[in-house]
This record gives sequence, structure tokens and C-alpha cells, in this order.
Amino acid sequence: MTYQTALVLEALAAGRHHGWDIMDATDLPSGTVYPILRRFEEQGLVRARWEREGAARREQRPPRRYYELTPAGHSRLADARMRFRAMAGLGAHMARRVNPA
Amino acid sequence: MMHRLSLALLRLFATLVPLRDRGEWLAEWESELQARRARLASRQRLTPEQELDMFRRVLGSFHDAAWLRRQFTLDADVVHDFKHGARLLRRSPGFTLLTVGVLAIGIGATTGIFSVIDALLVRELPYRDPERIVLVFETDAANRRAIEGVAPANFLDWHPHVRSLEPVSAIEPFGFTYTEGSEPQSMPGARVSSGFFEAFGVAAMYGRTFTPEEFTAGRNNVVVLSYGTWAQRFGADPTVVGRVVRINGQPTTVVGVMPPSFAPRLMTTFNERGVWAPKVWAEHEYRLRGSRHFNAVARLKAGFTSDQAQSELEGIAERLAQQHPGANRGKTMQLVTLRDHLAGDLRSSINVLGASVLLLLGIAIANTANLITTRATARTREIGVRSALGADRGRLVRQLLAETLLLAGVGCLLGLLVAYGTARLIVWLAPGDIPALGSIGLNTRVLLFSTALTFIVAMVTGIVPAWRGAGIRASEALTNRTTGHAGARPGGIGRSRFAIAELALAFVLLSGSGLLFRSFATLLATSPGFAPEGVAALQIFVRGPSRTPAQMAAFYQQVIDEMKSVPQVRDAGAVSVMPFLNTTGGSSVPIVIDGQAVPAPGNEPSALVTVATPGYFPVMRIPLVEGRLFEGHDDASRAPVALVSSAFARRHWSTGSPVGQRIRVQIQGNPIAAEVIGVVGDVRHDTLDRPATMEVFVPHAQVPYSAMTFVARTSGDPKAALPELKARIYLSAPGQAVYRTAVLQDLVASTLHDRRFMLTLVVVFALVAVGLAASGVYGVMSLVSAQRTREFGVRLALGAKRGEILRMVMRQGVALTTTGIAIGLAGALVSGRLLQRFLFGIGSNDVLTLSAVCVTLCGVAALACLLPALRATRVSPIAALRSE
Repeated sequence: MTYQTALVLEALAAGRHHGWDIMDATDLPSGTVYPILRRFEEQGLVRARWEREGAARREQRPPRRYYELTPAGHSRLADARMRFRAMAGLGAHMARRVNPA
Repeated sequence: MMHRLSLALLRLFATLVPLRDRGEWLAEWESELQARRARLASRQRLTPEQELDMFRRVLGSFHDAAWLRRQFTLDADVVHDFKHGARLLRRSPGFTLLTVGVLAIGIGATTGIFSVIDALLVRELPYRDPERIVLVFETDAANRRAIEGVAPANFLDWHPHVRSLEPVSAIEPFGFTYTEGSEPQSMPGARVSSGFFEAFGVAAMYGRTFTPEEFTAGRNNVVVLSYGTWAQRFGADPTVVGRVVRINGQPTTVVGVMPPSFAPRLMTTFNERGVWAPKVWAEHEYRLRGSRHFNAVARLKAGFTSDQAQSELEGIAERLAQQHPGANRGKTMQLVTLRDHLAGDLRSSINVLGASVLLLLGIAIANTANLITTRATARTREIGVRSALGADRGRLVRQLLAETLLLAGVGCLLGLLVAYGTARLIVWLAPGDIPALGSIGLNTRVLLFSTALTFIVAMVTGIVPAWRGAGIRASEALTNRTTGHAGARPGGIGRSRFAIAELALAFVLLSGSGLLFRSFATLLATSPGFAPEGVAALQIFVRGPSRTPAQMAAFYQQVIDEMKSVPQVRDAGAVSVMPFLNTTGGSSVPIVIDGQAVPAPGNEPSALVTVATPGYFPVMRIPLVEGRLFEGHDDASRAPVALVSSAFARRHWSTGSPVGQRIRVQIQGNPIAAEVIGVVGDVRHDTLDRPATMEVFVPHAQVPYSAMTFVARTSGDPKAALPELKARIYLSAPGQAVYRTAVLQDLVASTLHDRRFMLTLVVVFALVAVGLAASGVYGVMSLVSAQRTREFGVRLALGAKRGEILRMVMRQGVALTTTGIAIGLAGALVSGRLLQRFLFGIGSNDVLTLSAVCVTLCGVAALACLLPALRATRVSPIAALRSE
């Protein structure tokens, strides 16, 4: 596990469910975030699905891909927190961090 | 603007994504981009920084797409394996260079031979449906390889009735004389019956080919030019069509020019034809069956196969043999596809060359496998560590194979140089008249072939060592400390198998080249029956009814006298059928010997009847065996005389002398009864490996023949005398073109070209093979003695003599060598039979050749063993024991 994968886990746990939102929260480039998400999905740490049409239509945009942690993902996050103690409190910071305006 | 560019980029990168995920991938990225835009734009106008930020993220999608692609294709592992392999190979340059070199030789030589096969047998011919174009030859039913042209009367009989071929055209080789200003020039060409150009399916480049009416007398003063003739003689002038030129003294209209690709080379004995005229059949040609100097070309009719056409022709030939037994008994017809004909005799050599190069490739593969196994053994510990760290067997095999593939790939690139060299060597060595060879080259097909070959070679050489190497158990590899670099696995045995295989294959190749070499040496020592050194030959056809027989005889005598007056000429003469210049074909004619019982059918005397002047025999140094030669007084005023060759004399006068006997023969339709005045030595006419032709000679003064070849023995280089000799002919007969000039020694040598060609290549292959096999033996023996260094040290410390150590190593080497040679001998006995038709004067299991090969290979192998053995004796006991 690298620090970057830990960051992505933390961002997911902090309620960032879309690729670009995770980039906003972690400051990681798109070329890093997406492969991490895809590997998580393969390893069963993350579940991905498409948003429902309705929510998207209300905001006048196409439906986005929605990622959320599975139980295995949560336990992996716990491991990561043990390993990278500096991450403590990062989740709260990410949750607070505003979207770019 | 930026947004549109972003969308375009996403679509471009999406092509990297495996098809299975592509739609979703694109949808996800587009939706993210649009959602972000929508959200930002809903608050305020987009700033350039925001645009740029989104664009940067879109660029990042490339990494995402590439990552997915790598996951899908395992590219990551493969690329890693190759990088790792390259690093390892760079670290052992000696091994790498050796292996790459061996592979380059194997792959290169094979590719070179393939490029020849491609040019001869695969490439498309420039005609319509070229596979349906066939040539028809007459041949002996007993010996189908002895193909001859077709007799005009036979052709006229069968061609209207044949159902499987259409059109069918006869071609008569013909020397045209083109007169431009005062200088007569000879233009080799052919008179063709209707359907010739249609059989090839080629139209004229300028003008047209012949119309049906032009095949009638009086309207046949038209010619079609080849591209070469048009370019050389007419300055490539397109307005030449319609021009009237002087050919054979007649005003003749040029009606067409053929494209450059049209070069049908139907006659192997003639140079390229440059001009075609319509054939109008003469009265006597409807009866002419003895002379088979026409060619026939045809196209298989739709729905007929060449086998069907062949059996139809055989049926026709049987009927012809019944109707005209005199000329056609024992004869049949043979269909040959144009492609086979163009590949010529090289086609049979190609089989031998192909087999040789495969043997060489086999040796190269064994050699490489040997090297790679040695290396894999030497890396036992490395592989053990990797497998202890969790690499599974498949992964290790893949990695070892990647290394082999790298080696083979570099070997293939270098091999292309070798292939180019091989192809050039073949073109340089090949007998001159193989039309298809001109287009040899490294084209796409050849490159594909060598790529596929490289891949196969890499797999074959790599898979066994890789599988075995990767199977090493970690515990074994890591605990085994008996030697510094090799495991305890008996790798030596496996590797000596490779060395044995190399020796066996090299034996087969070497014995083949030995057999060919012995045949060639025997042929070189075979006398043609005359002394070709210093003899020049000039062939002319005297045309026109302007000379009476007496004038014809006087004309030739005059030219001969003129020639004798040339300073470097010692003697001169003339003959109607020149050995090695005219092919004799089937022009043997029946002979009746007075006073002998009528022979059984099929055993009638027959011989080639040759017209000669008295000077012919001394010029050629054909020995007189008995009686006397022609003399100046044997002319039309005296009783007819004849000479017979020794073979003819032996066959028909087994007891007693032919001198004084009378024979009867028909020459150009005239019966002649002549007294045999002497017997001369046998002369070979076609090639040195065919038996001498039975021959009967009659003096030119009594039978004045119009188409003769002058021969002149010169004191210096005969080539230098040719212009002066030509000038003497022009002096005696202005307007008479010389059809062909030659130096006799070159003519005889040219019949050996085929053999020289094959021999050189096979010998080169064999020498390389022996070198590779020796290096294989050396490699195995070096490794074996290196592995036993400690043992030798102990033995020496315990008092063993160095001689004993030497014997121990050599014994191992001898066992390996004798096994290899024994297997090779068996292989050589089998494969020698394939060479049978190329051998002359020896059998395919020639004891001398096989023993020489045994001795050579034993010597080479002994040398290859000796170096490692000597090294073993120099082991210092202390150093050997301390190294543990």
C-alpha cells in the first residue's frame, strides 16, 4: 500500500464518490487516481455504479460513475490509518475541503 | 474551444482502452468533464485557469487508458521481461555475441535460400493467369527428363485436335538479319504461329500483335519487337510502329512493341529473343519429324487440369508413334508449366540447397540451445532465489523465453545481412540463364518468413532450457554448493546431446558436400573428347537460294582459307553440329549398314550425322583411331566417304574394322551411300556427364550444308581473335550476319555452372556447420571439465598423473564424438540417395568420401576436446581445493 492509495481510500471514506471529486480532495492527478480506483474495484475494496438518471437530469448533466467503499475497503482503510499515522484527521479535513469554485 | 479539444482527446485516448471497457470508460470521463463544467458554469463564467485545470485532467486520462490497456494485455510483464532480459544480456557480452552470431548465420542463410525460392517458385509472373501457361516438349518415354523441342510435322498433326489446350502456338528459333545502313546485324528472334501472344495473355505496349491474316505467305512481312530490341536498336522511339525496316533483306513493317515484362525465354539454349515474326509453314515442314527444334507454348483451357492435358498429350503421342514409327517410336510428350520451366535446373538444386540450409539451421539451433542451457545452469542460484521469492514457474519460463526472443531478434536483424549476402552469392554463382533470378530480393514475404522463422527458432531453442531451468527447486539451488556456478543437475548429459546432434548434422552436410565435390572433380577430369583450349567458334546461317551446292562448298572453303591467313590462327575448319554450342536434341537419324543382318526393331543403328570440313578434326584435336581423316580431294567429284565415331564403331562392328564398309543415310532428304574411311574419337556434345554421342561424319565438300559453325585454333586468347575472324566472314560474304560467337573453353565450362553453383553453396554451408559443431563440442567439454575442476584437483593431490586427467577428459570427448559420427553416418547413407542424380562417377555411399568425412570430423572434434582437456591437466590442486 502506498500513501497515494491510502489518500484515495481516505477520500472515499470522507464522502467523495466521484473520480474528479477525489482528485479535488487528494490533489492527486487524474492519471494516478483512476488506476487506483480501478485496482480497488478489481480487489473488491470499492463498488462502482452509475448514478440514477433522475439526479443527473436535475443538474442538467449526464449520469456520473459513483464509487463507494465496501466493508473490505473500510478494513483496508483501517490498516492504512495504522500505517500512515500522519493521516489521522485527514479525513475530516477532506470532508471539509470545499469543491473548487 | 478547449472543451471541444478535450472531448476529441478523450475519444482518441479511448481507442487505447480494451474494447470491452471502452464505452463505459468514455462515458465516465465525459460525464465527469461535463458535470464539472456544468457546476462551474452555473456559478460564474469559466476562467482560463479553470479551463486549463480541466484540460490537464483530461490529459491524465491517457495514463488511465494506457494503464487499462496494459492490464488487459499483460504488456507490463512482457515489457519488464524484455528489459530485464536486455540488462542480463548486456552483462554477459561474450555469450550474447556468440549466440547472436550463431543465430544470425542460421536464420540468415535460411532466409537467403528462401528469397531464392521466393523468386523462382512463389513470385507472380507478369502474364495473365500465369499458372495456366504451359510448354509442350517431346521426350523419351523411358527418360522423361531428356526433353526436346517439338518436330514441326508432329505439331501440325496434333495441335488442331488437342482439346485441353487453347491456344497452342509453335515457336521456331530464328536468327533475323537486320540491316541498318551497310552493317548487317544479327537479331535473335523467333517465328511464331498464331496464338503465341494470346497464350501469354499479353498485349503490345505500342501498336499491336499479329492479325490472323498475317500468318499467310505474302502478308507475313511484319515483326513485333521486344522492349529490349526497341530500346537498343530503335532508340526507344514510339513512332517506330508502322515503320518499314530491312529484315532478312526484305522490307518489313514493325507492327508492335511488347512491354518490358514480356520476356518469355522459352529456349534454354538461346539468349533472349528480341523480335517475333509470323510463322508461315513451308511444304517440307509438314513431313519434318526428325528435327525437334520448335517450341510449343499453350494455355490450359478452362476446366482442364495440367494432369488431364498431360494424359491427353500422351494419348496423342502414342497415336503419332504408331503412325510414324520411324521418328516417334519410344517418344512421348511432356507438359511443363512455364514456372517450372523458368526455374530451370535450379529447381532441383533448390531441393538440395533447401535441405542443406535446414541442416545448417538445425545445427545453429542445437548450438544456441546448448549455449542457453549452459547459461541457465550457470544461473541456477539466481533462478532459485527468484522462485524462493515467489515467482511461479510460468513467470520464470516467460522471462527466460523473453531473453531467447531478444537474442533471436537481434540475430534475425544481423541475419538479414547474412541473407542479403547469401542471395547475392547465389545470383553471382548461378548459371547465367535463369530468368527468375533477376528479381531476387528481400521483399515483404521474405521479411515475414524471417520473422516467423526467428520466432520459431526462439521458441525451439528456448523452451526446453527455460522449462528445465525454471523447474529448479529453490532449496536445491540454494543449498547446493559443490561448484561456484553450476548446479548438481546432470546438465552435461543434456548438453552433450546437443553436441552429438550438431556433430551428426554436420556429418550429413559434410558428406553431401564431399560427394558433390568428388563428382565435380571427376567431371573436371573428364575429357569432352576434344581439346577446347584456344578454340574460337563462329556460327552462321547462309540464306537464300543464291548458291548452288558447289558454290556453297566453295564459299565455306574460301572463308576457312581467309581465316587461316589471320596471324594468330593456326588452323581452321567448320562443322554443322558444334559440340556444346548446338544442342543435338533428337536429331539422330537411322543408318543402314550394308552387309549386316537386318537388326531387331528398336535396335536399328542410328547416329548424329555431322557435316565437317577436313580442318575440323585437327582444330578440335579429335584423335584418329583408325583409317584416315577427310582430305581436300574428298569432294563432289569423288565417291562419298564417311567417318564414324569410336562408340558407333564398337556398337556395330564388334568384331572387325568398319574401315572399307559401306553405310547408307539420308541427309536433308537425299540418300547417300558412303564408304567408311576411318574411325575418330568420341565427342561429348551436351554436357560432360552425358555419354559421348554416336556420330557419323560426312565431308562438307560432298554434302554442302548451309548452316555451319567455323572453328579456329588460335595461338593466343581466342576471344581476341574473334573480331578479326568476323571481319573475314564479312569480307567473303558482305551482308552475312554472324549468328553467334563463342570461345569453346567457356562453352564447356558453362555446362558445369549448375554444379559449381550448388557445390560452392553446399561447401560453404558444410564448413560453417563444421565450425558450429566444433564450437558446440568445445563448449560442452569446457563446461564438463570446469565442473570437474575440484575432482581433478583432488585426484592430482592424491597423486594422479596429468596424463591420466588428460585421458579422462578426452575419453569423454571421444564417446561424444563417436556417438555423433555414428548417427551422422547413418543419416548420410540415407540422405546420400537424395543426391544421386547430382553425382557423377561415384555412388551415394562412396567409401572414400565417407571415410574422409569421418577423419575430418574426428580431427576437428579431437581439437575441440583437446583444449579443455589440457586446461584440466593444468589445474592446480591447491587452487582447486581452496576455491571451496
